[in-house]
Amino acid sequence: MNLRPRLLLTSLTVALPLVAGASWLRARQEREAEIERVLAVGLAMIEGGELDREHFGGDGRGPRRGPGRSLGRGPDRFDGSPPGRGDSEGPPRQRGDNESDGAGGRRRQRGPGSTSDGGRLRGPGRGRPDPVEVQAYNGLFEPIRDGQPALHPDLVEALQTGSTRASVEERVTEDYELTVAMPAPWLEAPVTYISVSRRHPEPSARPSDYLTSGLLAGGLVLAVSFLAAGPLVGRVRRLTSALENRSPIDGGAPLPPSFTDGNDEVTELALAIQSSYAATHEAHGEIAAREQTLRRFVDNTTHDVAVPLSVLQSHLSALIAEGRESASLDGAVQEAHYVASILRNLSTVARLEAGEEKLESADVDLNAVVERSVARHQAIALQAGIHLESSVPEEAVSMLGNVALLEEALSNLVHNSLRYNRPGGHVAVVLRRLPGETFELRVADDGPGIEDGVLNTLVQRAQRSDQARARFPDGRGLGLHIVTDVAARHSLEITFGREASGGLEVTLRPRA
Amino acid sequence: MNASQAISGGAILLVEDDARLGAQTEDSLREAGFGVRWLVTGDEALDHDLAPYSLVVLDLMLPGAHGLDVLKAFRQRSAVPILVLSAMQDATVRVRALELGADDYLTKPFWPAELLARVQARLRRPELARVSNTLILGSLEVNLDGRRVAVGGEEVTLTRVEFDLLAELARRPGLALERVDLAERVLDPDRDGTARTLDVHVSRLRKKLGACSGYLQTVWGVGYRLEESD
Repeated sequence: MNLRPRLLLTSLTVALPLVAGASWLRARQEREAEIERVLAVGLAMIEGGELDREHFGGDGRGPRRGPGRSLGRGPDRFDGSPPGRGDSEGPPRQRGDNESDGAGGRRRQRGPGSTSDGGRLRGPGRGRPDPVEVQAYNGLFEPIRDGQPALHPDLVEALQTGSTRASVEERVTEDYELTVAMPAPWLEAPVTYISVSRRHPEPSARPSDYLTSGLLAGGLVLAVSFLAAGPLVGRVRRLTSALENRSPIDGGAPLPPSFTDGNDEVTELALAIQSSYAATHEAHGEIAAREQTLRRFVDNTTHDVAVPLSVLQSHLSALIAEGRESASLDGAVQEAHYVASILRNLSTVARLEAGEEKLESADVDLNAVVERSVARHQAIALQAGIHLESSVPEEAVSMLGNVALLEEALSNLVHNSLRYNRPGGHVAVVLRRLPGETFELRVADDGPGIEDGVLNTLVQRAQRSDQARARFPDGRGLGLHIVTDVAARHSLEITFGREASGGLEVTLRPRA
Repeated sequence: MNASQAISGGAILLVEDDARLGAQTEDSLREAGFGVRWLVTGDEALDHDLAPYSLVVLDLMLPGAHGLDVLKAFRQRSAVPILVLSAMQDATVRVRALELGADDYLTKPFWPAELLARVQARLRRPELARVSNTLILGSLEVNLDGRRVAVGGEEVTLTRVEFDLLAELARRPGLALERVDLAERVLDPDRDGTARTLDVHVSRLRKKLGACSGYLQTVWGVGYRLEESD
């Protein structure tokens, strides 16, 4: 994901819960404040004696406060007389501007500092008059007076569970009514619970009231951040382009000053990359120099050994031509051939493992590869008294690959079959076309073959040159390692099997 | 020697800087019947006239001009077969040499017989390419168009399968043909059986060829080959 979308997503992930949480908190605080205001008005009405005690009970006994009982909201103005006596001192009755609806025991009052408005109270802190009503309920949550509205079930449930205060807001006709209920703040009165309700055309604060403005503010900040990230993203992109065209191996050329002369995080990143490139370039240079030296050594050694070895082979050939046949001469010829094979293989393996032999995407004429490989070994086959035969299809078979590597691999197979054979033995190299534009290259001999246990794991053993050499210290492992490596590079499947005569049969086929 | 001398096997230009190897290679080629002109440096070779030669044996690591440059120059002015002979084992060099027009590539060290086999194969190839509709192999005569076979002048009657078998082998004389391929070419699986019955047909054909039966050789691990035998 690009930097800017990621920045946007991250900001949204962080901002949305924050805005939602803040909105909820703000709404809750506002609601609590509103409840406090409503309660303050209701309790002030009660404590100020503005409510007729009859509204709290049919027996004419007004609510009384217990000794030491404090509402915490105003002066303790009750004398502590036992409740239930109609002639006892209740809260001073004040008719004043109070009014009773005479039906439900409801009183509409003004709170402290409120103004009278036909029996309604103007709530503090609000911009318009709020009708406040106080209701009284007994211990069973039943209205004290007939005709009073029942206490809202949610409030009943909350108070039953021990809450000291509960509130609920409902839609009533066109207004919203906020009702707060609590245990009556006095003892021994028929009034056990009271509720104070306030109606207002607008509901009390809700999270959505603040969510919209919060989201708008957050969106504005995000948009500004998104735009502000533009220059940063541009710098990162330019740095990426600058790096795409250079390799830590090819060169440690310094980045343009526009990336390295600043003092921000992008500059630090550019400097770190430049430093890393320089270190990699230097290390690669040292490795390349060592490999070059090693390669030159291998080349020079191969060349220096190959020429005198050719001369030695010529001398041996001359001795044979003169008719000086002997077991010693045969042995010398075999060893000379073997040394020549090792020389070629060491050079090939060194290059294969150094990764120098890149696979050429050139058409390779496999007929020609077979002919050359067989021709290379025909002389030693004749010398060893082994019949080396080959067959290729009339129409040449070709494949994409490296002709030199393929020839080296096949030569190793042929050499292996000749080396582990006997006078009078046979080696056959057969290239066949198969249906589906594919082919099969088979090298078979009637030599002693390889034990079944070894045969089954030959490919795995041969795949690692060190293991191959350790397993086959006579040198055969190196050649097989080349064969398996070249086969893998050319997507050829190699199988080692037992020829009908008991000898070894190696087959190469393109992988399906 | 001078390239203009009478040469039985053809004239070969040898470009090799190593004195001992060059001398031995020249000797072995001469003993095989070839005339040899031996050059030591790349610069000498660059200006040399290739017209008298049937084949060039070219080393790559030469004093003066590099062998690949010599190869490129030779190929630009002549179609003479060029066999590259080099101690450079690098596969990319071999690929480069073949791309520049080398006909063959032999890495050192090598046996003289190996070089001779390559040279002879390269010089013999045009003859092998000449395919006639009638193959005369010793006393065996195979007329491919007329589907007639004669041994010592005497016509031999062959079955369809026997003639097709002989014709397949005769089209590529001296080459071993794979038995399964051969069976697929000449046998109708519904009427003649599969590769397993090929040996039976070959056996019958040998009997009919009489004195020339030895020409039809069994090649171990491969199949059959038609070749004049002693």
